[in-house]
Amino acid sequence: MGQAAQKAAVEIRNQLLEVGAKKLEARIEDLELRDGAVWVRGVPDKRLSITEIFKARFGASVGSMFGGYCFKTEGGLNPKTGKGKAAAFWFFSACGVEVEVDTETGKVRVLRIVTAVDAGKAIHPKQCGLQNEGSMLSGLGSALFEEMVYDNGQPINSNFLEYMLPSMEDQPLEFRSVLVETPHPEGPSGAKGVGEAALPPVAPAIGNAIANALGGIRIRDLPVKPDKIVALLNAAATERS
Amino acid sequence: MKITISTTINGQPQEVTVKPNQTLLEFLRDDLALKGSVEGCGVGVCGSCTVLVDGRPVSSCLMLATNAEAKKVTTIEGLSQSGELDPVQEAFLKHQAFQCGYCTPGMIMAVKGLLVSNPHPTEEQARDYLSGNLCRCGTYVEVLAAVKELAER
Repeated sequence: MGQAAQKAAVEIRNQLLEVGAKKLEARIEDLELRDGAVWVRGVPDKRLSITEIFKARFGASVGSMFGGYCFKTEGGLNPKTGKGKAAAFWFFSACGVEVEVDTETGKVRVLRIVTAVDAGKAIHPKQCGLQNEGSMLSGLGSALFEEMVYDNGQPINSNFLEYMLPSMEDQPLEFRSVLVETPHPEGPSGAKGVGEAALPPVAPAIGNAIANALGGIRIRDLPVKPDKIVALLNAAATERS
Repeated sequence: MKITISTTINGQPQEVTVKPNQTLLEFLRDDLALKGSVEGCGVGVCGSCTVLVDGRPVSSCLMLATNAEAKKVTTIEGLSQSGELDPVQEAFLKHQAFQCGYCTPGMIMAVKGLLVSNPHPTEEQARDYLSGNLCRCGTYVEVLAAVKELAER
């Protein structure tokens, strides 16, 4: 969509200049668009505001100019080769975490999360980082706390007391997202979406770290609540004895 | 039925009429048009409606407006003084401690409350104090960075 917006903006700019060239009797190459008007370069008083251009083009100060860009997929991946254009872009991300598991209470505390996300081109790196951090914390929430509970179809935990979001106390001590920039041909200026990509690997990373901490005991049921860990530890102890 | 109370809102002493069942948040938003304090959960869990009452942070969705009698209420609108942003607001801007901004008024007021009661909090104290303010965009790291800078002043 960024590509469409960018290309549409360029097309509409060209349309404005075309109308301006006719009205100002100048060549398009000699025109520039700035401060809401089309100017003839080097001639300070030869200008047409965008409103005037719309009046010239539509006979009124309002109207619609269009521009656009269309990306067509190939309808999916080639089943034989596994290759092809199935989407405008997809995401690559990786995540590492360090956890601490209290084997008596089953409480999991995430001490560190680091993700690396392919951002295409990070146009605003700080904002890209913040988007990824938000996803990392959401990933932590869905891995450890967040769950809709129903009783005969009725949601019974529809407030923040019973539907737990990560709070400042759950915030890992080290919390970092690394932006990997590989300009993407289908994105505006090489950019592509960031943010969501940092979410999917967080829960698996936490699950793997828990298994690693507990000597291979795997939990495959999210969210990883303390009672589930205690039950698994008890089951493993019974098996051993 | 209406009740007249004397209260101070953002430094302005005033006599106002409030409904007995009106929360402080409703009074601030609906009657005084102070829309900075926002309702997130409405049950005192998320912290987005935090205002200072006599310097202490309070969830304004849980406090009745009548209880503001003889109290000093400060909202996010009352934080900047003579056109200058409050140091907490400056620190939030500097560290970009927000994304969507919904929790920000409450978060800033909670940080203000923290610094009023403890001007030099440790990170652990800050985490504990601010854990009642939820941020779904996950900008806790930036908030803590802002608090760290303020605590070192």
